[in-house]
Parts: sequence; structure tokens; C-alpha cells
Amino acid sequence: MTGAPPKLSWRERFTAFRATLLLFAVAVIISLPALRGSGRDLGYLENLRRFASQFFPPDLSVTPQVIAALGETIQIAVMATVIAVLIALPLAAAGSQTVAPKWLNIGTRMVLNVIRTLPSLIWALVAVAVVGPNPLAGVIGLTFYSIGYLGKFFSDAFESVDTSVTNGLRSLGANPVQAFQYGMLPQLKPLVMSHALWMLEYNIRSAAIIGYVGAGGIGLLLHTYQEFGQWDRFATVLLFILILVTTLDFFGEWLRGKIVRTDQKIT
Amino acid sequence: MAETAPNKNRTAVRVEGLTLDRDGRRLFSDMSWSLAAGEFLAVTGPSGVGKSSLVSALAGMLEPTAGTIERPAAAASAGMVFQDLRLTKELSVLTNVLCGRLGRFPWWRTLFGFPAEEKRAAFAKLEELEIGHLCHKPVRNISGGEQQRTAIARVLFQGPDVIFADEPTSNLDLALSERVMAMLRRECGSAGRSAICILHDTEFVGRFADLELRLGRDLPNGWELRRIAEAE
Repeated sequence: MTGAPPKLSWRERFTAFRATLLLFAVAVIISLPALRGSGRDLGYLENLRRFASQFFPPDLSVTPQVIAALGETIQIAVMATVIAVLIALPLAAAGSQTVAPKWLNIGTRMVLNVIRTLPSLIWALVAVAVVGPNPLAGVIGLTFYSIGYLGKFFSDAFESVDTSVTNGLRSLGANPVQAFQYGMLPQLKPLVMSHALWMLEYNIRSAAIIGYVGAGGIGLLLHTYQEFGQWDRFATVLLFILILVTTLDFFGEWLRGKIVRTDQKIT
Repeated sequence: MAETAPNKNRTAVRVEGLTLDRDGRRLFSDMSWSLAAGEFLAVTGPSGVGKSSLVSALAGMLEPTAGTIERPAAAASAGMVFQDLRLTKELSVLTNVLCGRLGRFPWWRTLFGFPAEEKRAAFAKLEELEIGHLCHKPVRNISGGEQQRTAIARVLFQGPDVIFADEPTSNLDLALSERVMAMLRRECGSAGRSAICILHDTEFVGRFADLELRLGRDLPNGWELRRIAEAE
């Protein structure tokens, strides 16, 4: 006759998942005061209705200015992404254990962490202080921010590469440059392109905000309309941002999927 | 490109007192033999006796516990068909085959691709293995058997002095397996190369190999070598 299965101790049942769940529950209880607000009844819904009514109908007469500013936003994002990709690639290689020695990995990863700690708005503020309120400040601000993220993404991409392929090529007589070009790079290319596209999408969204601190683009227009209480024009800007971001979302996802699945032709 | 046949009288691989341990277990010990240029050695034995470890050690990818292995010094003069193939799956079949000759060129010569005559020669190897029509397909989009043939085409295109192959026909049907084995045999016969192949099919061992190196726990020191022509 078989007996009952042996019981697990509480430590064995206290898995990392359950511990995280418990931690989260404690965090929620501690955070409840954040929902208190001012404590007075201010007619939240009435406030919202009054504020939102100023947005309608959107003033479409400013469309030409909005489109020009959107164009500048895209220019800022494109330049920032391209420069960041060029800088992040060698940094990522230095931060990856499959390519560089450990001492270089640690140093590079620390630098990338520090860059990533500051939000794009702060980088833009610093850039405005250095080069003045213009699109170049936006490019510089977003470039720094993107280097932090792309450096990490590319670094992870380097580490996800199947190194047995490059080792196999080395055993056939390929030198390190050839093993990188024909063994590692083909595995990296779709990932690098996909991350770069994601970063471009992100930068276009961010570029819409950094104008608030004077770094050019559509954010500057947004800030101006907000300052003058021209909410109907503000609504037009939001409308165009919404159209741009939604289009980017669909197009970006489709393109990234295509890149990862695409057939690569002969070199 | 004209290929020079290696000297058939020289020794291609020599093993002296080779001992190999893995995970604290002795696979075989005191192994000594030599393989002449142009000879085909089949490595046989049940699973887990160390066939792949032996071939890895012979190819210089695994440090032996004791003993010495003499093999061609230059990396390009030893070619390997790995059990896991190790092809660049994102690249085309043809480019993977061309990679077999990377060792013949400096890095700057292959930076923007390979010379046209190399492409023609690589394509000819693919045609021999009946996968010429797949030449522009990325390796990840072809079947396991086709990938295996790509790996074999790569090593044949490389044209090394010694070909190491870990179960090179495991994913192929009988007709194709025979064809591949005949090609490897031909490389040994006409081109004077040597082949060291892990094989499971005993019929293939008898038909294509000159020597059989059998590994097994029940054998003295875990190995035994026989010359097939003499035994049969």
C-alpha cells in the first residue's frame, strides 16, 4: 500500500513567484494613501468636462504649422536614432561577454546604466543649456538617451548569438573578422534593425515631449498653445500626434516582424 | 581553382597513448594508431562511449586527458562536419558553402563577398549533392537533411587534408546517405584526403572505410582498431 505523498516544508512552497506576489500585495497596501488626493470634493467630473470641452472642436487652421513641426520632430528622432545606433553598436560589443573581456563588460555596462538612469527630458534640458533652444538640442538629448537603451539591447543581442557557429567557422580556418562577419553579424542584423526601429518609434514619441524644454519639434508648439490657453489648437496637435504614433505603431510592428522573418539573400 | 592532392605516403593523423575522461569517467585509455593520407577511418560504438569526444579531441577542440595527437597544423587543413552542423542559418546555402574557404583568403578579400569563380565552384558542389536549386535560400528555411548536405558541401568545398565528420548522414535517406559516403570515399581515393567519420551503419563501415575504430566499455582500454580489407 502506498502512503500519502510527502509534505513540502513552507520554505519549499514559498517560491520566488509567491514571494513576489506577497511583496506586491504589501507594496499596494503601503501605497494606498496615494489615492487620497486633496481630501476635498472638487467636482472631479465637472472639472474634466469643463477642461475637455475647451478641446472641441479642434482648430484645424493651424494644420500647416503642426505638420511642419511634426516634420521637425521626425527629423530630430531620425538623426538621434542613427547617431545612437552608430555609437551604441561598439559600446554593446564592449559590454557583451561573447565579444569582449569581462573587465570591459563591467565598465561599459556601468556607463550604459548611468546613461539610462536619466530620462530623455533631462538629457534634453542639459542639451538646451549647452547648445541653446533648437532642434540640435533635441537630437543631442535623444541621442544620449537612446545610447543607454540601444547599448543594453544590442549587448543582449550579442549575448544571444549562437557562438558555436562562429567557433565552427574558426575551426574551418576563418580569422576573427571573417568569423564575426559570416557567423555573428548575420545573427545580429535582424535584432539590431528591429531594436533600431523600435528606438525610432520611441524617439518620435519622445521628440513630441522634449520640445517642452525648448529642444525643438512639435513639443514647442504644444507648450506654446498650453501657455496661451489655446486648447482647441492644442487638441489639433494632439490629434496629429495620435495619428502619427498609431501609424508608426502599426507600420513599425509590421516592419519589425518582416525583418525578423525575412529571407536574406546571398552576400 | 586547381587543387593539389596531398602526398599519399605521409601520415595524416597520429595518436599516441591517448586517454580521454569525461565527467569524471574514463572513456578510453592508451589509444595509439596512425592514419595515412587517403585513408578512411570509421569510428563506431554504442551511444555514450565517447565517439564525439574522440573526434572533437582529434579535431583539436577538446583537450585530451593524456597522450598526444598529431594532425595538420593549419586550421584550414582540417575540416569538420559537426553533429549540430553549425551553419549560419541566416545566410544562404551558397554563402555557407563558400564559408568553407574563408581560411584561404585574408579578411579584406571576403569583406564584400567571394570571387565569382569561387561561387561557381561552390555551386558545383551543391549540384553534386542535389541542392543546387536551394542555393539562394537561407539555411533556416530548408529541411534538416538539406542542412546536413549543406554542411557536407561546405567541408568538401573547403578541401581540407583531413575531414572529421560526426554522423554526417544521420538526417539523410538511404540513397542520399550512400551518395554522400561515396563522395567522402572519393575524396580519400582521388584527392588523397583522409576522413575520420562517426558511423552507425555497419554496412557503410564495411563498404566505405579502410579502418574501423570501435569504442566500447567491454573492450580492453575501451577501444579496438581493425583494418577492414584485412578482416574481410
